[in-house]
Amino acid sequence: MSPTHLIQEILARCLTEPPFLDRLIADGETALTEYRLDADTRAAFARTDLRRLRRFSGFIGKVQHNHLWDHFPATRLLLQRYHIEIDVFAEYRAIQLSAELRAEGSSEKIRRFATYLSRYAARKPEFAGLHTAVRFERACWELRQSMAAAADRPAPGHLVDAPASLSWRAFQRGIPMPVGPLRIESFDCDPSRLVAAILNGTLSGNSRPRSRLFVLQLNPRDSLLKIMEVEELTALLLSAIDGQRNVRSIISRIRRRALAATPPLAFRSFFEQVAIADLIRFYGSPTCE
Amino acid sequence: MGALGDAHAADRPSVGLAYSSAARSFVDRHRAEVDHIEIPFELLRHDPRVLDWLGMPPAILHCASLSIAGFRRCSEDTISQIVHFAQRLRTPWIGEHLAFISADRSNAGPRPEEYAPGEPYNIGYTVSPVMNESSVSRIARTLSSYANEFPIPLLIENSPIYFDAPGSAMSQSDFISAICGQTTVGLLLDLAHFVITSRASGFDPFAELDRLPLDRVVEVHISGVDEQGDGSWDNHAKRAPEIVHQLLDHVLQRVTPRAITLEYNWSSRFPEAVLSEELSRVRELCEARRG
Repeated sequence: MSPTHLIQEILARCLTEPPFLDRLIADGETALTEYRLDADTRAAFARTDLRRLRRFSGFIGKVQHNHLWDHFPATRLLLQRYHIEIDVFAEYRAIQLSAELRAEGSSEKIRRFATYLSRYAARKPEFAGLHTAVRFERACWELRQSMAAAADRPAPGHLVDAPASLSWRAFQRGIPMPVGPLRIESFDCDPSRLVAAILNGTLSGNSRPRSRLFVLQLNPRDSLLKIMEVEELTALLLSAIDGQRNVRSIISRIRRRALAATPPLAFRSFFEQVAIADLIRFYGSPTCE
Repeated sequence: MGALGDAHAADRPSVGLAYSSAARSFVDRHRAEVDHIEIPFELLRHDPRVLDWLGMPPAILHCASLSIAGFRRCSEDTISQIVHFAQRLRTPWIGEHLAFISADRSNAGPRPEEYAPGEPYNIGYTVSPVMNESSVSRIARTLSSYANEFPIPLLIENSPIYFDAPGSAMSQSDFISAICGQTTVGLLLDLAHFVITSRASGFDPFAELDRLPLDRVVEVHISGVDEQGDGSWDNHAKRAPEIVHQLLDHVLQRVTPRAITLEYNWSSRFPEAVLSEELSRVRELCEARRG
């Protein structure tokens, strides 16, 4: 095998096996002992800017993730604004090229990258907005992913147009179901305002972060995202609504975790209000009065 | 779809776009602004339904699979698929990167199972090769061999050079000139790649352009460039910088390529207004140099 042949093999390995490239950067002499290289070729490798090669590997990873940006436009703008696109993908390259991830489908690959990036952003607070943007855009993407499955779910009973008109007994047997795919997430600011500011170039980074809970819901009729800030108790109740449990079961579940002293009837207004807000629909069970 | 040669006079370059969902949508609504569409072979292999596009302009086939600067010959299956799509598209030529995309695995290392065992390294991206005399001879032989496989000419595209490959002993311009000296191959001159390479190598791009055999240039690529602290990077999601248009003008003062392709194909949100402006700008440059 000629020196040129071996050099291109080693370069290809550097670009497909990030741990090997890291070993080469840390200790080139030792990493190259696996190859029968002449002294000139070893010297040529010693002169090569291997960190630049690592950045090139990150650049390849970036290009191979071009499909992400339809779903993560604000995240991308922030990566560009902070000039960290290539660094992020260079660091992610080992995960991207792992045998485990190579075997996964495209959705899982997007999920894995979003997980990686949100962890990266969480430990880099200097990149203001990045952590919130990637988590929010991921939640939106996952809601859209689950839209088809949600649309295919059969209704748990007949639709009740006016749950307020039901007797308390019938009300307790009713089954609330989210109108569309729904998520409850904690953010340190209103994520929809943040993303809008990123996309229209007005992000200031001056906000004072504090943890807040938001409901995100995709309306199946128009695919529009609804987002609203909620109290902890509302979030807790909404998280128990799955389109299978009836009201009685949801209340029992919540009272075991909190509000044990609150009488069941006191929860009724919550269900009526979230139905009015079009977050849930109310279905009567087959035996409902 | 028609053939490129049917639509254009020899003294005026065809001006077109690289395929993307945004480009396709643009063509469907502004057909008169786009003379041709450049389609990647890899896309057609993945999704041959692209060929069903009604109203597709004349097409040019672009390829990143032949690994012409590598040591492994591309599979016969891939070659026959390229021939098939070339015939379906009636492409006047096939553009391919002067690069390698795969490499043999003589030594799998201590943990060969971490990467597809027994398989060659598949980089999934075109990489500029080691540039020396032995590479020139090998690539010239490879090009001669592929010339027998394809019914139309193969063009080689200058790759962006992001790092100096160990073992390289020539500049890219000398390397390309030497390959042209040993073959009759035509050139696909990517001006964004050329800017990136010039910056990485510390060359004046205008002087360096004149060192290339410009009479071999058949097609030109235009796209964006990202400037970062450590150098320039290819970016097909961004408008070409001013220097790319200046270099195009420099080329047009010397030769008339048959096609100029705007490669803005990395973002489905690429603004239509920018596509329109860039197409007009290139056309105006061509007209100015023609007159």
